[in-house]
Amino acid sequence: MTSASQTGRQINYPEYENFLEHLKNKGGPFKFVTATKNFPVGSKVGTAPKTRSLAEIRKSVLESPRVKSVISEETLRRKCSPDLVRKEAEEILDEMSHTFNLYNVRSFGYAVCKAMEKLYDGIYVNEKKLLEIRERSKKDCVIFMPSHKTYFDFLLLSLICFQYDIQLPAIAAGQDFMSMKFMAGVLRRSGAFFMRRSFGTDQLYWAVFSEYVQTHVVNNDRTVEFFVEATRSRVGKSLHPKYGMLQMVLEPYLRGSVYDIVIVPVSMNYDKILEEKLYAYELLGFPKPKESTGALLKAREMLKITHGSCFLTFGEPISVRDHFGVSLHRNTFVCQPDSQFVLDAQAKLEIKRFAHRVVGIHNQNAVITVWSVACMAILQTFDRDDQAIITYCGLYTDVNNLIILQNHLGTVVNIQGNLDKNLRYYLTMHADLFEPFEGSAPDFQLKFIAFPVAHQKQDVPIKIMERAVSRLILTTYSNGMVHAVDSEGIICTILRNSGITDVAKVKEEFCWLHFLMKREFVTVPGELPQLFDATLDILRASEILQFTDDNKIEILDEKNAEVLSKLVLPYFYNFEIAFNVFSEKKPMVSSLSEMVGTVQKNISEAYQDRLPNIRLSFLSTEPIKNAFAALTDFGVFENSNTGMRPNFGKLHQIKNRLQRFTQSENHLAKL
Amino acid sequence: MSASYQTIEHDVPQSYRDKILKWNGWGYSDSQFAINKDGHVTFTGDKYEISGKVMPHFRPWFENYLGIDLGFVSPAQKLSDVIIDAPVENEDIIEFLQENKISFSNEARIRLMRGHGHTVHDMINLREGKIPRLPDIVVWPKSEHEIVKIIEGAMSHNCAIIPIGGGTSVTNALDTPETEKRAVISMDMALLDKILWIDRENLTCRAQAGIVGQSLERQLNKKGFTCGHEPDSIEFSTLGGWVSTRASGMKKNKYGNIEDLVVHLNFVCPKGIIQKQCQVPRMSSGPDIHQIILGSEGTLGVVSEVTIKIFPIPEVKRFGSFVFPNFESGVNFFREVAIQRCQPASLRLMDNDQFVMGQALKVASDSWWADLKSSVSKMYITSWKGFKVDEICAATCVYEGNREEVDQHEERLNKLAEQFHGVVGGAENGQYGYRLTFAIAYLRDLGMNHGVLGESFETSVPWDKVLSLCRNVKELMKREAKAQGVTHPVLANCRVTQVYDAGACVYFYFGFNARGLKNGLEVYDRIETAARDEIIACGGSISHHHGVGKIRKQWMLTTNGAVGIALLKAIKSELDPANIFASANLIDIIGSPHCKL
Repeated sequence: MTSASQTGRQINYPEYENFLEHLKNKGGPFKFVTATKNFPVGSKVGTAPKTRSLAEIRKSVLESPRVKSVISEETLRRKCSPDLVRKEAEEILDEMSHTFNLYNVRSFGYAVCKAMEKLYDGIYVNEKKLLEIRERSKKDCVIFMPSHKTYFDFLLLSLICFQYDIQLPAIAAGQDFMSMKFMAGVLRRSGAFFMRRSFGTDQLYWAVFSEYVQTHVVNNDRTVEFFVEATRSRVGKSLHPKYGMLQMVLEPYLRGSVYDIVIVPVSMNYDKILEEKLYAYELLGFPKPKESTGALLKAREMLKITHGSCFLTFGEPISVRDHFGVSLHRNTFVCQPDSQFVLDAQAKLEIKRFAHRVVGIHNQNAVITVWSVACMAILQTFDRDDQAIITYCGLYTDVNNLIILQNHLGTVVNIQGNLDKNLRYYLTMHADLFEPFEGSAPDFQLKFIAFPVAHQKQDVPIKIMERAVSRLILTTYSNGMVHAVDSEGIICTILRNSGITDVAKVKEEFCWLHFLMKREFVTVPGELPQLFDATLDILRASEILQFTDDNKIEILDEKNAEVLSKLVLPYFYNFEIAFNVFSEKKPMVSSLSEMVGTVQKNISEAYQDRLPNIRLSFLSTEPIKNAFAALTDFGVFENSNTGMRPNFGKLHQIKNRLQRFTQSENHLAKL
Repeated sequence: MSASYQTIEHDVPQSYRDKILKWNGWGYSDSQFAINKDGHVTFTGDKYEISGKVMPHFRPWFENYLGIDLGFVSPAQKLSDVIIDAPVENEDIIEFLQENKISFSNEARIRLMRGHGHTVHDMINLREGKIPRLPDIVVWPKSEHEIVKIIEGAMSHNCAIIPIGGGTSVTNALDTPETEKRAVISMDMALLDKILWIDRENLTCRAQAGIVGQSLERQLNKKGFTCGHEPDSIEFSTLGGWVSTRASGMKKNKYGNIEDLVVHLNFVCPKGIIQKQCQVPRMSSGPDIHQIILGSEGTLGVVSEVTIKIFPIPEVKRFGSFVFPNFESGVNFFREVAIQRCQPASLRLMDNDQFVMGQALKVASDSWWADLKSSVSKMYITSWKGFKVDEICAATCVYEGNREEVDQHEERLNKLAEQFHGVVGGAENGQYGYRLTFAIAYLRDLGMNHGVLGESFETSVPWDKVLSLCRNVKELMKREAKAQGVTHPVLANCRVTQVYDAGACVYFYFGFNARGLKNGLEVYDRIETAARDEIIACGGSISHHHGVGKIRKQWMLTTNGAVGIALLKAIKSELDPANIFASANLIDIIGSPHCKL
C-alpha cells in the first residue's frame, strides 16, 4: 500500500455511472457518435481560446527555437545541407504526428461502441471527476496518465472523453502500432501520435518529438495522454515507471511557458482482459508476434464471450504548480535559454518521485475484484498441493477469508450483489480456463485445462508449458490485489521467518526488501521509511501486530500474519531461483537475456522434482528479468571485453540476506 | 493633527514639499481626478494638459473593470485627525544642531511629510490608520559641509539618519524602522537644489543632489541642453534619489540609465567623503566604486553632488504610435527593434488591458473632427485589418534628433512594425500615451477613495522569457486574488518599457476593489508577494529600477546569494560601522525574512 487512505473501490451508483447504460439511453451507438458535441476550446493562459489546425501545429514545431537550433547543429556535425536536415525533421514529424479529425473519431467510435456493447456487461466511470476535469481543461492543459493493461485503455478513455465533452486526448503510442497499417491510420486520425521505443542519442528526433509534445501542452490544443509505465503491463500489476515522457511534459511548466499543468491519474481495471492468453504466451517467452491487424481481428471470436465489466477511476486532478511549488524551484532554471532547457539532478529526482506517486495513485484507485482474490486463493491452494482438487465450496471459504482480512486492513474489495453470486459470475466468465462445470450447482470441481503450446522451448517440456499458461493467467489476475497487501506481507515475513523483532531492524530490512523488489512492488523513492511506519500502524490497528515494552514487534495474530506472509513470499522465491542461476563454475555470462532460458529450465526441473516453493508462474520471463535488473542495481555485474561477470561476493551477500526471509536452505543443494 | 509635545526648530526653510504637494497622495495639491457635477471624471488643477478636461469613458471603465461603485466613498481621514507620536528625545543632538546653525525642526507635520514614500502601505497608513514610526527630527543641510557636520553629530550623539530627496520611493525605503530606538534624523536635501556649473566643452553638468528632476531639466533647457533622464516621477524625484535608487527613465534607449549618465559624484558616509580623483568617461582602476553607491538606497551614506552628462536639446521631438493585433506581435516587434538596435528614445508596449485603460482616460474633445477621426480610425483597425478589440495592443514611441535623423528613424520603424502586423497609429496617440504616464499615478488616489488597493511594480527579464513572464504573472495575480477572497474583477495588466539588447523592463499594474474584505492590505500583500515569487520563478529580476527598499528584502538572498550578501554587509560594516544610516533597506545587519524560493 502506498498510503494509509483507502485502497480499492466499491462500484456503486451514483459515484460510478455505467457508460453502456448511457449508450443505451442515448438510443444506441449511432445516436451516440452522431450527437452534437460541445468540446471546450482550450486556451493558452492570457490568450483567447483558439483551435489550431494540424498545419499550424506542424509549423510551430518546425519553426520552434529548439528544432531550428538542432537543425543548425546537425548541419554542422554532418557537414551537409541544412535543407537535408530540415527534410529529415519533416519526415520524422510526419511519421509521428496525429491527424485528428472528428469525423474519423465518430465513425471509428461507432465501431468501438458496437464492440464494447458485445464485449462488456458494464463500463463504469466516476462521473463527478470528469465534470471537474472538463472545467480544468478550459484553462490549463490536462494530462491523462492512465494505467496500461490492454489495447482498450486508450480507446475507452477517448470514448469517455467524448461522452463528457472533454477534448479528446492526443495519445502517445508506441511505434509498435505502426505495423498495424489500417489500425495505425485509424488511431492516428483519432489523435494518436507515435514515438519510437528508444531514441537515445538522436538529437534531431528528440528535438522534434519534444517540441511536438510540448506544443500541445503549451497551447492547450487538446488533452494529452501517455502511459507512465511506457508499455502495457502483461502481469496484471503496475510496472516500474519510466520518466522521459513525464519530464518532457512537465518542462513547459518548469520553463514558465505554461502557467500550470493538470495531471490526472486514471486507474483502469478489467474483469477479463482480451489479451490474457496472448500475454501468458508472451511471458513464457514465445516470440512476440508483430501486432498486425490480422492478429487483433482474430479476436472476433472474443466477441462471443462476455468480458464482464471494466472500471475507469479518474483520480483527483493534480495541479503541477501546487505539487511542485516548493520542492522544485523554477528560478533555478532561469539562467539557461528556453531553447536549450536541461533538467538538473534535483528536478529529475522530484519528477521521478512524482511518477512513482502517480503509479501509487493508480493502485490506490484500482478496483479490486472478487476474481482477483479468487485467483490468489487458487494459487495459494496450489502452493500447498500442486495436485489439489479445487472445489467451489473450498474456494468460496478461502476467498471470503481473504476478503475479510483485506477489509480488516482497510482495503475495499468490490463485491457486486453477494459474494456467492459474484464468485459464480466470475467463474462463468472465465470458464475458458476450466473443463466444463455446472456453475449453478451448490458445489462443483474446477479443473484447469492445458493450453496448447506449438513448439518446444529449450529444455522445458511442452507439457509443463501447457500447464503453465493457465497458472500465468491466474497470476495476472491475482496481481491485481497484491498492491493492497505487499507491505504488510513483507513485514510479516520478516517477523515470522528471520526472527528479527526490533523495530529499527525490521524497518531496515523492510526498506531493503522493498528496494530489492522495486520492480515488482512500485514505491516512491525516498519514502520507504514512511511507508513502513504507515504499514505498521495498519497492522497494529488490525491487531495483527503489537509493540512490546522494549520497543520490539510481536505477532498477535499468527494465522493472519502467516496468510499475509505467504501472499508475498512467492515473489521472493521467484527472485531467489533466478539468482541461483549464476555459478562460480561458469562465471562468464555473455548476456542476461540468455540466462533467462536457463532459469526457466531450472524452474521446470525443480517443479518436476516437486521441490517446495515453486510455482509454474515463475516461468514468466518478467520476474526473472526484474530479478536480474535488481542485481544490476546492486552492482553485481562487472563488464569486461568478453561479457559480464558476476561479483560473487556481492551476489552471495544478497542471496544470504534474502534467504533469511525465505528460509530456503532445504533445496539450495539440488540446484 | 494633534501633537502633545513642544516644537523645537531653527531656521525652517520654505519648502515646496510643505507648500504645493499633497500630504496623503501623489503629486500637486490642486491636481486630482474628481467627479464633476455631471457625474463624469475630470482632472482638477492647472499643471497638466488634461487639467480641466472631462473623460467621458472613464467612469464606465472604472465601474466595469474594477467593479467600483463610485457612489461608495471611502474617504481619507483629515489631516487634523491624524495622531502623531512625540519624537524620541535627544537633547544633545538638538544642542548640536543649534550650535552649528543647521536648519531643523521636530514639528509634527514636517515629520509626517518626510516619513514615508508612495507605496500602497504608505497611502493606507496616511488615509486610515495610525502612522507608524516617524523620523524624530528633520534637518535641512545647506551645503556638503553641513552634511558632514550632521553625520558627525549623529555619530557623537547616538542618532540614526535617513536621507530624503523627492520622497517618491515605492519600496518603503523612507520608512523609519519601528525597532529603531535612537532618535532618527530625516535629512531633507531640498535646499541643495542648485546647478553648480555647466561644461559646454565636455557636455557635463554638476548639480547638487537635492535638485528636483523637473527643475534640473528646465534650467538645462534654458541653456540649450537636456539631461536625457526622464523617470515617470521626474516632477518630484531628485538627482540624488536617482543615484541612490539606480533609476531608469523612459528615454533610456537614447540617453541611458542613471549609471550611464553619472560621470562623477560626491558621496558622504560616516567614514568620510568618497570622491574619485578625476572626471573621465571611463576608468579601469579596479572595481568601479560608483557601482556600489548607485543603488545603495541610503544605507551607506548620502549623495551630495553629482556630475552628469548633458545633451544638446534635440532639434525635433516627435511622437509616434503603433497598434498590434496582440501582445505577442508587439513583443516580437520590440525584440526585432532591439536586434537591429534601432530603438527610438522611448518605446513602450501596452498590453490589451492597459490599452483599454488608456482609452478610458481619453478626454472629450472640443472638436467633432477629432471624434470623427478617432471613430474612423477604430473602424479601420477592427473591421478592415481584422484586429480583435480584446487583443489589441498599442505601442508608443518618442523620436528625438535632427529632422533628417528623425524622419529616417520613423520610416524605418514604420516599415519594421508592418512586418509584425502593426498599424501606424499616429503622433497624437503617441503623445497621448506619453502624457498618460504622468497622470496615471494620480489614478490610484481616486481608486483609494472608493476602496481600491493597487500598485505598480516592475522587473527586468531576458527576451526569451518576456511573453511567458507577462502571461504567468498576470494569471497568477488573478487566480491568487480569487483564492484570497477578492470577489470583484481584478486589474492586472502590464507594459514593456525599456528595451535592451539582452531583454526588457516590464511594468505591472495591479489593483482590486477591497470592499468587503476584512484585511484588504494583508490580502494585497500576499498577492504581490506571490507575484514577485512568480516573476523571479519566470526568470525576471527583483527589480529593474524601483529598487529593494524594505518591501523586497525577502528576495535579496535568492537574488544575490549568500556570498554576495556577505559582501554587501562587509561594505556596510566598513563604511558605516555604527549603522548611522539605519534605514534598514536592502539588507539587515541582523537578518530578514526570506522568500521560499
